[in-house]
Amino acid sequence: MDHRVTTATVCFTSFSLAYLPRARILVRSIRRVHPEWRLYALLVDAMPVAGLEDFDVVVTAEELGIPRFRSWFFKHDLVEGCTAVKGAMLQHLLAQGADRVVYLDPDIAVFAGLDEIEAALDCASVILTPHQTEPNVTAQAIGDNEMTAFKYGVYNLGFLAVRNDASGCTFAEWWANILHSACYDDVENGLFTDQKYCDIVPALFDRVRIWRDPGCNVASWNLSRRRLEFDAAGVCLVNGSPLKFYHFTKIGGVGDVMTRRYAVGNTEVLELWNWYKRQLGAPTELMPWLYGAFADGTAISRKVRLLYRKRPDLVAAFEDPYAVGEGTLHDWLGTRGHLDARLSSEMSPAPVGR
Amino acid sequence: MSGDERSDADLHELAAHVDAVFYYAHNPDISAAKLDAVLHYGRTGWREGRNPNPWFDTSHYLLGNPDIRESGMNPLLHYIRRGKAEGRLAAQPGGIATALLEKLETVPRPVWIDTAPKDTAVLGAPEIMAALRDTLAAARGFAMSVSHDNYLSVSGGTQAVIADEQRKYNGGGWTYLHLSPTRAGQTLAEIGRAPDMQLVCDGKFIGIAPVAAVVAAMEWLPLARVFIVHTLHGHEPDDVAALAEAVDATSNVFWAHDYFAACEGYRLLRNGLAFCHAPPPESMACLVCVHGNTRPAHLARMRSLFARIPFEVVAPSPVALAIWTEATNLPSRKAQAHAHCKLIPLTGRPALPSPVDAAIHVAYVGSADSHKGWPLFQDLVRMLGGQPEYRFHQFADQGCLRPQANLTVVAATVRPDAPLAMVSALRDARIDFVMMLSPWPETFSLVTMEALAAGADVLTLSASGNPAAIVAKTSRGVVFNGAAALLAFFASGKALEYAQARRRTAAQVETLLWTGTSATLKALAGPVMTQEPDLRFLLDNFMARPRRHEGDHVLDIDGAHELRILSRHAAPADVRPEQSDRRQLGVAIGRIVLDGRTLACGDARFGTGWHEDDPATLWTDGDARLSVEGIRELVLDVSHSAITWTIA
Repeated sequence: MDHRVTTATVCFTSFSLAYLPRARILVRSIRRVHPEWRLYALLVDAMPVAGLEDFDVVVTAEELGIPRFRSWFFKHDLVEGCTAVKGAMLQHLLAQGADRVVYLDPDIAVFAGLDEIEAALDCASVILTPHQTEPNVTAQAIGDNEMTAFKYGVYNLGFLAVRNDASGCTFAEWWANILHSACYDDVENGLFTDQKYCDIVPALFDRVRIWRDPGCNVASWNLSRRRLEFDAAGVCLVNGSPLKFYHFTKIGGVGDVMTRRYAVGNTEVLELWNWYKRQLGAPTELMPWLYGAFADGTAISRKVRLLYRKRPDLVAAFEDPYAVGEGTLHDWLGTRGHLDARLSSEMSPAPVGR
Repeated sequence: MSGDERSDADLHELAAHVDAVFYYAHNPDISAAKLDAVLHYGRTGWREGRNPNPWFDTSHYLLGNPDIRESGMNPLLHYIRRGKAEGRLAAQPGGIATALLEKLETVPRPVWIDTAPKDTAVLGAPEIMAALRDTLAAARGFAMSVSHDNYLSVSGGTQAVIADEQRKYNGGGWTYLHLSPTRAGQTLAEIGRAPDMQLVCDGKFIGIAPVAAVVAAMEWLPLARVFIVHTLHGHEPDDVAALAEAVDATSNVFWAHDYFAACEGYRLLRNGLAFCHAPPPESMACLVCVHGNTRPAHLARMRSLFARIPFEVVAPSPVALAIWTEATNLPSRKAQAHAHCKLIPLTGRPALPSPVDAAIHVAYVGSADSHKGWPLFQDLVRMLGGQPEYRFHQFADQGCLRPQANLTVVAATVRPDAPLAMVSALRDARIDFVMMLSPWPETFSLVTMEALAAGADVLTLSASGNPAAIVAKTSRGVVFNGAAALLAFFASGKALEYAQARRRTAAQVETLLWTGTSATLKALAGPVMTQEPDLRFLLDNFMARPRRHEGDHVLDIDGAHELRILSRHAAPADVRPEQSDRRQLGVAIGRIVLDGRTLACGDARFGTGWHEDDPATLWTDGDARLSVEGIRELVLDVSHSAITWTIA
């Protein structure tokens, strides 16, 4: 009798519409190497007319059943918001019976199968990839990389793999809860979104595996110690290991500067970077972020978000802080001169991750 | 210091780093306006993104250093004062590679250029037949070749070998018809947009015609026929197959001048940067390469052509043949290597003139392209340009020269009427080293041959393909594993020692002998009976098959009246500079025996086509006639042929 149990891997990414072009590159890249995976989009924005066809399932942040969602979500800016819902989504997928859940940031592209990681989940419950896996030597590289890890987190939460077992579910519950309580970019107070918390995951949970394969999560923050090359069969090798996935973080901005700085003499890195830019194509006009403005289009400033975060009385008083009109938070702020007349500054894509 | 004084001091400091020759060459507007380069770059040029010299990239420096951009300081001044010490980079890491990458588009859009002469009548099959009638009537054979452009109007290596091939075929009495598309492009013709062809017959442009008309005109061809593919850029493979089928040749020759059969990126440089080994189309290398998207469809069209036409693949070097075979995995009847030209010693010539000065003369030959290794040559010029021990040169067509400080540019163009122009130019400048720095396996490299013929040694990279193989075989130069090793050869002074040592030994004086490319391929059209593959015996205009008996050709005459001995021919003076003999020589016949009786010189049976002035060797002129009236058996001893003798 055949006793094999059919196991399934599901993968999700979390993004706003500004990152939809990136998410599409991600989902197509996964399809190429893992056609058997079930791919979920966690959309932290309004549902678009088109563009999500490559995903098997689309879930909006509001559909996750988070209590008093609009009130809770108002405390987050774009990066915070897109990461704050990852824990709830992980729990949701585990609850649905997925055997393994892989999270990948929308600005990642997968180039080779993650079979080794899937296999490793037979013995591990949580797999994390560190930003750096080899010590840097120059002062500049230590400053750019190691010192930054102290502030923003040792592990890059652009990737996470969790097995649906007791330990994996305990981790998911802890992570979802802590993200619900405070998923903020508040480095001064030791917080950085969903990422910094994970520094203590290897201490808190059993069966946590630190995945140090140089072919995983290659990005500007570890290029100083990784070298890419293509072999005669056209396989991209990173320090000799096939490249599994590359994190095209902050492309077109500081990512360009850091990538150039650390890809000196390694034109293969620039080839990948250039390929990603070609896939993205010319920037298109973006719709404003659904959660970036009050209902009348007035931008929600960071100052306002911080104020709402700190004032339980405002949270209690205004259940839908995005609303406008008499008796709303918007009205309350306006009478006190707290409203910013600018249009939403969160229309433009802000980087997810670090 | 006042503002003006500070500004003067800044300019003074900049002056040492602004290369005026380079600045004017790259900024014709500044040159035309007769503006001072230092002043212009120092005040406005840097704000306009202009570069002051070959090694400092203004835009990159400002882009990579937002602090400098915001400070409003001249970026070159910042670099020389502080930036360099701070470890900032003067140009994009990866140099020109990065700049190249920035320009890559999503899909390299094919650029199509109409190349046919304007107001040219489009020929139909009857007009083509009329144009070919006279030449075909007297032809001993027919060769049709296709390539990407009209070799009469474009100068270049492939065009030069086609011109030579045409002349050699014509010299052997063959008609040579060349076809090139009327629209030039870097890919196969767009599907559904097959171009008309430009027709060149025996070196004369005869008009343009649709492929169907050419196909319909292929009647009444001589028995000996060859179909030759040189390059396929701009062609529709189905049309090429239809042409080959219409010619119905004894041999279909496919030349591996490049690796286009394996990829549209015909140098196999992934993203124009590094040799890719033509990996599987589904590989990651192809995924990230600009040619990856189109490769599967390109390969399918190539496979379909090779499935239809049984090609004999010929590469200009064994190195290229091995790479091509591995890269394409296409079926072929036969695969061989055959060089376009050979180095032959010039005996009786004075030795090379002595050096012009004590300096070592280093040359780059050709246009300033990254796929020819120009960036590495630039690195070398930057490293040693000002030193008295070295002089650097660039030799190229006038339009391809890149003037800059410490570089002497020399215009030299190889044309069909001046095939040795580059050899002479290099020899005149007493070049010690020619740099052959291609990062991909060149299939032949005329530059390498020209360099050696000019008495220079060649410095090349192991990745360069045939240049590396030639250097290894001739010991005329050095093959380096990479750029670093080559630069170290100069930095350590070894280059100087090497050049001085070779100057102390008398250089062999050599010249280049063109082989005729397909025209001298062995065993192309039928069985080999002599060293001359095109030797044919016709009895009353029927092809006769001689038996071989102890090195002789034996023919059963069987009632025929006349024997014709056909072969290619050449004048020794045309192919060997030291020869003055201008007679067209075909094959040399040792003796002729008719029914056991040896024919004496001056016998009445000799018809036209014999050189009877030299009793020691009886030469034909390529088409000799002999009366065989009343003879049963004829025995011939063909001692050698002019063609193989001249290129041996």
